[in-house]
Amino acid sequence: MQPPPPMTMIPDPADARNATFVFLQEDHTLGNALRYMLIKHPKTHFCGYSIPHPSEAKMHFRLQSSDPELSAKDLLHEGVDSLKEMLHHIDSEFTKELARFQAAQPTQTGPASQSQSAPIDKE
Amino acid sequence: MTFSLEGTDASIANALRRVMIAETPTVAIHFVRIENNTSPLNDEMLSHRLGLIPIVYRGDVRQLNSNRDCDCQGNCARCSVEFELHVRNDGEDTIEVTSHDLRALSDMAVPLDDETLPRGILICKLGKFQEIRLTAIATKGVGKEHAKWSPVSTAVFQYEPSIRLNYRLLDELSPQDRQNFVGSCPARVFEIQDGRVVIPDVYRCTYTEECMRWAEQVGKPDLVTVKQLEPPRFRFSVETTGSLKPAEIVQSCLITIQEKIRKIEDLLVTKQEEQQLPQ
Ligand SMILES: [Zn+2]
Repeated sequence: MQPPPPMTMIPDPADARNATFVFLQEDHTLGNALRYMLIKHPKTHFCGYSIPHPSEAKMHFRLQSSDPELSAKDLLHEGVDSLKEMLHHIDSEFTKELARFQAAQPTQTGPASQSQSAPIDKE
Repeated sequence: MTFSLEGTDASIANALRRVMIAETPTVAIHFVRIENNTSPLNDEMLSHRLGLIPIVYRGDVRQLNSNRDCDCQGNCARCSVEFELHVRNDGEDTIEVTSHDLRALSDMAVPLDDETLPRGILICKLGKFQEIRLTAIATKGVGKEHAKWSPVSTAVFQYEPSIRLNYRLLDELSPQDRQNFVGSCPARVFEIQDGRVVIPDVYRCTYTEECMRWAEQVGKPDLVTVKQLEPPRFRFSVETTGSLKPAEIVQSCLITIQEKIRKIEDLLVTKQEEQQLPQ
């Protein structure tokens, strides 16, 4: 048996600008982060998510675009892209800062005792 | 480890925190085959305790197969690490069975060995002639299935407070009142150094607003304001169980979220192609 796709779309038959996306095995982790990215998008008319039932690993993501030229699916794609960019940025900044911090540490004997609980303060 | 995150929103910070706790893979003992157990603990309790021992995997945990999806029958080196425990007390005195007695059958993983825990993690005590003999299989998993796989004991973030003191009004207070003002804060955010009120660490603030209430009571509501910094800055505090290093957890958590996003993106791309085909 093939596993169900991790996301399905429930389109609005009358208007491609509106759609609800059903994510399987996702929760507030992705839902809220994606909601935040899309709410900042200038062409988002409405964006929200819900977890219809706590015992079902499902997350409903509602999206409505304000631009007739931009379908909900394309808008979601843009939101996903911007979230990807943001995480990529956090990742590279973290890696940079970690390297800077480790370089500033006084040399320790043995790599095992290396910065288990050392503070990194980025500022 | 502590680090700060800024230029974003609580939803992103919360995603990081949630993934660190619940979706960062580690290795933990999942199957136990008990051959002999005459210890005071029953088999289930013993197995549970074994599961909670942090296991340090010497390799990239993410590269390990999930035991459930591995194409082997039972378990193999690509999806698991085997351990052995055999202790028997032939002496008169009670002995301790600890994580040091857990012997890995491959060199890919070891039970947590930390200089702060020279005696290891206590599993059980054995009286005269009591014995434990078992093999245990550690597999990859994530914290949302069972907390034993969670690599963090603490993963929290805090909004950076913005505390503004009006020094002109503070100078008008008597030294006793200044002392009272400092004493009004239950989190001890303020201290007096050379007669001046200072804030050694803003993160001590727990937003009780007791200082503002005190200022209002003495008729000087502008003495102090406590707000969340705008735009927000978050200070993360990550403390591990020992199975991964804190920086590894943050990096692994970022990979997990990026993989989630890639999965959706792939789906969006293929969906578009499918729809274009019939035209
Ligand atoms: Zn296998």
